[in-house]
Amino acid sequence: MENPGTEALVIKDLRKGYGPLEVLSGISFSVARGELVCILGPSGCGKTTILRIAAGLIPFDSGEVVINGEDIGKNRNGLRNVSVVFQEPRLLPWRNARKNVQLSLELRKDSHGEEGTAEVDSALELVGLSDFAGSYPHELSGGMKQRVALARAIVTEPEILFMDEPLTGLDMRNREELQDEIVRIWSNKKVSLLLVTHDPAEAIHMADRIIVLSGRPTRIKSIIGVKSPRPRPRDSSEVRELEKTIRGLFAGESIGESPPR
Amino acid sequence: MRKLALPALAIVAFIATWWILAASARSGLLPNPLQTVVALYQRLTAPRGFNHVGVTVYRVFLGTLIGAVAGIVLGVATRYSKLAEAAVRSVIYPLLQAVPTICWALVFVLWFGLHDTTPILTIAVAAAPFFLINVWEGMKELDANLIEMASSYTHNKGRILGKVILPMLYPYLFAAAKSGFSTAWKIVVPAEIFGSTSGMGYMLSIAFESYRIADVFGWTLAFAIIIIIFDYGLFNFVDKRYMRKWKTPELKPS
Repeated sequence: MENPGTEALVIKDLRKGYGPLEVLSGISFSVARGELVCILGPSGCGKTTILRIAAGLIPFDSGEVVINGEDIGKNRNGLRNVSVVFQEPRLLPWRNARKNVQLSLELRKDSHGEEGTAEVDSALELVGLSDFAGSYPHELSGGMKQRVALARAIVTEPEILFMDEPLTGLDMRNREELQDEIVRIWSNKKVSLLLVTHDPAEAIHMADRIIVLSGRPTRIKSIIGVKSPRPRPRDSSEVRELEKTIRGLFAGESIGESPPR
Repeated sequence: MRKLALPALAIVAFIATWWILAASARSGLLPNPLQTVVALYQRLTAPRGFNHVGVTVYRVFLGTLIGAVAGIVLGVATRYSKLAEAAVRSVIYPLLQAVPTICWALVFVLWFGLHDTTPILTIAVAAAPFFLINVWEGMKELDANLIEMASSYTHNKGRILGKVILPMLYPYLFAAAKSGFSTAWKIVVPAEIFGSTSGMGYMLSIAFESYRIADVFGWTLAFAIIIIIFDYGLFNFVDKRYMRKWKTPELKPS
């Protein structure tokens, strides 16, 4: 499985339409191994569509999606070792936190019973939920549920982790906490991470590079590198400068406001 | 205490009313509660008495199980095959709904005679629609988000079915089992009267034909007790113990 390339994900000239409606066209970008890339765009701009195509959840019309050197193909034949964290936690209500994390392992291979317990435990520990392993989803807060979903995604040791606005449903405090947590887990696991968001501040705080999309028809407006070392301050002249640049790109379009701090 | 006192009072009032009515009838057409219990006790302790209970319980369970498997398989098939969906929608379900269960029982008597198969299949066709309709409905209500999540980890449909889809259907299966069993217990009486030479329904018909009124009441009481044990005991227990988790669906973050 040794792969000489350094790119975890390469997307070339991706096109996707629904009937006559063209949602995406001419989308090309890549995610290097171990890189944290954010896709930023106004709501309804098709950023989630890009992520779903890359994760193999929906087909596309033309272009190329290559994960670790392998073309996933228009019809998503063959499953790559990737995980997705969705906007909602999507936990099974009848399974406790531990069993929910274990689900991804069970679905991947035909494992029964206690297989993978050590991995499950360490994933729960990584997201700080060791004490809640036996709790059911309805007993957990929104932030905790999303942490379980995160643990479920990383326990399979994915080559790429996709996140589709994973923090949108959370309040400000939880959001900022989880932004830092995701960055910590990303660097701990050395996983490649592609995260979709509509919040410029979130992208600036987390990303190595930000892919800025336009509204429909979706194109890449700009790709912005964020060089400042981590942990990053929430507020600095550099952050303000970047946010101004990004908002400038959206002059005349509505981009998600960062919630008031 | 109040919680228990009122139901107890209602039961005592029922028995007292029954007793008073029996005493005022004075004709033997309505045995009093004690006579009924004694008659039942005598029937049960007679040779092979408990066998009749056992064989009826066995038929109800096996019949319901066969109906459940058939209903679940058909219901699940509606999700995976357009043809199966059309067959269920246009033929199988209407047929099961439209044909009176007694007609099935008579047909089975013609085909199988006075054999175990007759009441068992009668119960199966009576119970199957409950499982079919519930699974079918459940299949339409499945949480697409959870299935998408599962399919991001595997393309193996069987694994998704076993680990995500079927568990999502448990509440529907539970509802189906409850109605299916309750119907099975009611349908086993005519099924055994027409199609059997053993079982509680058969004993009931013997008592009826030989005009032993206390025995008729005794067997009726036996049916009532068993159904109450099932419905209020077993199903309530399972409901409270296991079904709670399903009733708190994940709320979407807002």
